[in-house]
Amino acid sequence: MAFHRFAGALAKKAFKVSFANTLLPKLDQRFTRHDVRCAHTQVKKLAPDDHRLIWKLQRLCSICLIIALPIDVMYPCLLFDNLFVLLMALHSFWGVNDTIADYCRPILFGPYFRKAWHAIWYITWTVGFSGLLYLNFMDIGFGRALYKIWRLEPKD
Amino acid sequence: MANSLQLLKQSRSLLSAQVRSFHASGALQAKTKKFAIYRWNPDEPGKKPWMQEYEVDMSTCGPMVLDALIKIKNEMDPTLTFRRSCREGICGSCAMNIGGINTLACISKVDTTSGKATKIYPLPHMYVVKDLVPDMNHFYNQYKSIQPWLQRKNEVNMGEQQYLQSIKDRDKLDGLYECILCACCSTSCPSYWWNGDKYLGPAVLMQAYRWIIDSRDEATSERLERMTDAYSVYRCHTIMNCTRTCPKGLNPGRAIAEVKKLLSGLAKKEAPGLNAA
Repeated sequence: MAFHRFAGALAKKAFKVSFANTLLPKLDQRFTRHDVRCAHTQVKKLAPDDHRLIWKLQRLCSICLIIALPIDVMYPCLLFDNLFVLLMALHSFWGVNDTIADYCRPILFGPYFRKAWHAIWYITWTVGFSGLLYLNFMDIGFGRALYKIWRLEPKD
Repeated sequence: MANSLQLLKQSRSLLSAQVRSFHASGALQAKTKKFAIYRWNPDEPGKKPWMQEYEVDMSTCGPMVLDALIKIKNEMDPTLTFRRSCREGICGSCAMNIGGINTLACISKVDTTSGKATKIYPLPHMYVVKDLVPDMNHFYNQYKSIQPWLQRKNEVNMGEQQYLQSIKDRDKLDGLYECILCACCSTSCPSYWWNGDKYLGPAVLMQAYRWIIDSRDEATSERLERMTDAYSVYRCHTIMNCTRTCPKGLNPGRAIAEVKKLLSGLAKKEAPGLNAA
């Protein structure tokens, strides 16, 4: 059985090599004769990463945010403050990551541009998240801070 | 008598001159329409793409943009290059960007109300082969990658029997099978512009969905399994340019949303109403 598989793989490889040596150059010559620019025609096979769970968590996070914000402002406490800050941090983490994936394209900027922006974002995110946690644990907390910014009474 | 004859002659010539000038002025005032068309010639590698203006006499031209393009090619500039075939919106060859909207030249009417030139570009963000002809190889390869054919575990012998499908199951294919793969939707999608190498794009995803929900198809889980990565489907951000621009009035945005629901397990493919074979 193992031998069969090995022979099959070998045959496939041999076919690929012979195909590349014979047919492809001819096709290339035909297409490049008039200096026609052609797209990369290979559809990239991606690493088997599974995005389904993250997608579901993203939706769940967005829905929870809508509920968590008014609750945190109405009943500010350490639990709700931290819950909201965590949800908001996750939401922005995924959102900006996706934006970087969309706009910092390796086709245009090379492979390192996207990685650099991801690194900048991870640092910014860590600092921002820590700041919000500091606000919750060492200061008045996110809910009260939001209330303070938007309250209508004049400042003391 | 001679005088009156002379007068008659004069008045007749005057009248005929008037008639002639009336027709002449009619010809002068004929409705003309300007087109600014994207040109690029691969045989002149040093030359950058440019916009060329053509003025078309609409009184001797059909009503559609494709009619005007054919008239330009026949009568003014035979070097103008574009694809066309059926001239009735069923082949998808003449997909191009007309006045900022991806559509089929054969079923979009020439805008004669505006004195401004109508701008015509090839489909956006595609490699250009020449003038209005984009390179569709990558798009077709992506279509091939979703395996757009009926797949069954046990196939019946050709010609021996048909695969059964209930009317309700057949109705699910409406709004999906009509796609002519003109690529208007995919090339209007910003996500496809940015990540077209890995994101499949609305046209291909709608066809993927067409085979996923076909009650006769038995490769549903394999089809879905191929699209679980972060790019193939999930680069769709529901921008909905695809649905807005589709010249056939289809809704690829909805189809992608259904694929996402099936992928996440929030929806399940219904059991077939009839046993197919």
